[in-house]
Amino acid sequence: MLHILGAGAAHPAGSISNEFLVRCQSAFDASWLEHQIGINSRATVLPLDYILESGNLDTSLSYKVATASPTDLSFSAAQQALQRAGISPEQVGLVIGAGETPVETTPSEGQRLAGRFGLRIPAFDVCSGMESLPLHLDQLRHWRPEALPDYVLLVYSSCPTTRVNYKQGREGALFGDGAGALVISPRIGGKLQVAASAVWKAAPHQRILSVDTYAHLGVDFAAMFELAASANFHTAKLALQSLPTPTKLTFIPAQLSAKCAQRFKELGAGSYGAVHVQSAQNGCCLGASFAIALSDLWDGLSGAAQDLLLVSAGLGHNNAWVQLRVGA
Amino acid sequence: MLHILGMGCSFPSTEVSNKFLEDLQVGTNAEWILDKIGIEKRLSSLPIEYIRDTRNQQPRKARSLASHKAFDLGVLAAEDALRKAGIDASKIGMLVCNCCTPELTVPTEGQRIADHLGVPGVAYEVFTACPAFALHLDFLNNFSEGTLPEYILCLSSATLTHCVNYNDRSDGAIWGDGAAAWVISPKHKGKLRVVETHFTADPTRNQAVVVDTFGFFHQDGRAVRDFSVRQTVRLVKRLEEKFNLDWSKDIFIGHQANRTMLEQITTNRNIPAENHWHNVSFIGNQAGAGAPATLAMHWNKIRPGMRIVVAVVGAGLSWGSVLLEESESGVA
Repeated sequence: MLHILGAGAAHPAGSISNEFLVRCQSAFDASWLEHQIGINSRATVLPLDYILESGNLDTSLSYKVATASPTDLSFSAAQQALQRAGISPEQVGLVIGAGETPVETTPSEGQRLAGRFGLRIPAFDVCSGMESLPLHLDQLRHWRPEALPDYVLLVYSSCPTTRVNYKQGREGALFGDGAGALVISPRIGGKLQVAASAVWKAAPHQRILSVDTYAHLGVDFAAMFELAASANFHTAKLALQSLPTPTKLTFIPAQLSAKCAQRFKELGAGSYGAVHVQSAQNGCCLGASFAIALSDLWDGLSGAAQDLLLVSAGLGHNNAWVQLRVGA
Repeated sequence: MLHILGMGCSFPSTEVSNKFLEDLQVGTNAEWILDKIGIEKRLSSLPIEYIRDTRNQQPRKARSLASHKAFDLGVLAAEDALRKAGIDASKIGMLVCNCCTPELTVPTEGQRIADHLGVPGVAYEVFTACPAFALHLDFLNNFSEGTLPEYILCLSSATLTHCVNYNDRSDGAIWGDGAAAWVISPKHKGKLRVVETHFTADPTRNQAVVVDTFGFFHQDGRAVRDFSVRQTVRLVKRLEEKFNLDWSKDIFIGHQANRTMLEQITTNRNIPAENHWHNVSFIGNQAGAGAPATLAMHWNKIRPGMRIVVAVVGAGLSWGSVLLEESESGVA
């Protein structure tokens, strides 16, 4: 059984407020941002004057001006995860990374991050967009325990603001930059146990989210709220059918915005348990979102038995859910 | 136990010859390239006029002009592998992909290829660039018995000529474009069984080989060359000692980066030329596709009882090996 011993997160200091977005382009409406998106601000590695002047129309300039790289953020997140796990970097035996906005397509994020810690260990990436973390936990749960070292570091880094067009389109309302990290072990106990999981290919559906390697990312806003929320809720119900009745349940659904989580709750999830809404201050950090959510919840996880149910559907190629048991 | 049921490969058709590179007048000549790198020509999906006229100084433009992108080559290689394995894409329960030159990161290249082929299983990237063949098989070999689907499709595809600065006298001589695919099964027997897998890395040297997202490939050539020869020899020696390899019968396939380097390795290990399979000298370095594409191209030469060592090194810096054994004849 896999255990999660530590979780960490990091965001850049820069912040894009709703007022700033309104200044970027007239299509943004302060009321729409507040009531339809539910995000107050988004963390960004981009200087605000760069965004205002250029709109980030040429994404190749973004990393030249960025205040941090995705690996800078994942390094900070990993440091927090290791500190919470109570282990030193030298005790890590494997690093697996994921990221959607790399500065370099080679080497992998896992190798860049392991190199920052001075580690000479196996490292590579396993990438699947929004559902990368649930996929990692599900796949590693099926590895032979002896194939895993005592401690594995999983890192997720995303700087989607470097791929946003701030002069056109509404994607700027959603995305923020951040990184998350987990320390897991197949044999050493931790605060969370990976109790159950499933991953399967999503049914063909509208492509709600796409992230180009070079160019701007895109979101199908018309499909986003209803399709993604209903897909998440359907996946959550499938998970609940195969699990014993949880004692105290918190859903962590994949979400592009707080309103997506709200819709997920309204569809019926709220009758089963609490729904974690991603920070209204940092924006959607793509594949780093789940690790960031776990890090945000980490210090409050203790004591009485409770379950976290990670649910990812409608925003990627694969659907996934993972049951994490607290206090076992 | 994993078996490889079929393998495929795919390449574009534009030939970039040593003479062409010499005529670019960037400080290289055909004789030097052949002597130091051992490559006679390489295959690119870029128009030859585009390379000559622009030297690919704006690599983001390359994608729009190319005859093939990594996705296209990956699809062709996958279809080739499925055909040779005798199974339909609808039977694939998992697809893992390695691509250094993706068009999109969401969905990933492997996911796009899976959608195009009609693969019903999960799909995701398992990425380390050049040593992908070893990583994929080692990654899958770690799953507990009964947890993998019946058929798995592995892919490595890259169009690294899109990331080459053709004003650089070395980089233009190295790269070709290509894709390879292999169908494996933990349940059904195939022509090759996977005897042993190994993958590891030294990430402290990860900046020795880099492909900038918005720019060019670059590497510390001398350090990477020394690492490649030394590490491949170590990989081969370990397998020789553990499995008592016999180079009069067994086959060696190295990372297809540089034929001159490969010949240093085969000389060091006394591997005869006829048992050294390679394709780099007429395709160029195809990153993670090179070694599996070589195996795919020699598929019909696999003889009963034959053992094949695939030892691959590259970006990360990472490296790994796979020992395969012919298994259909019952000789092994």
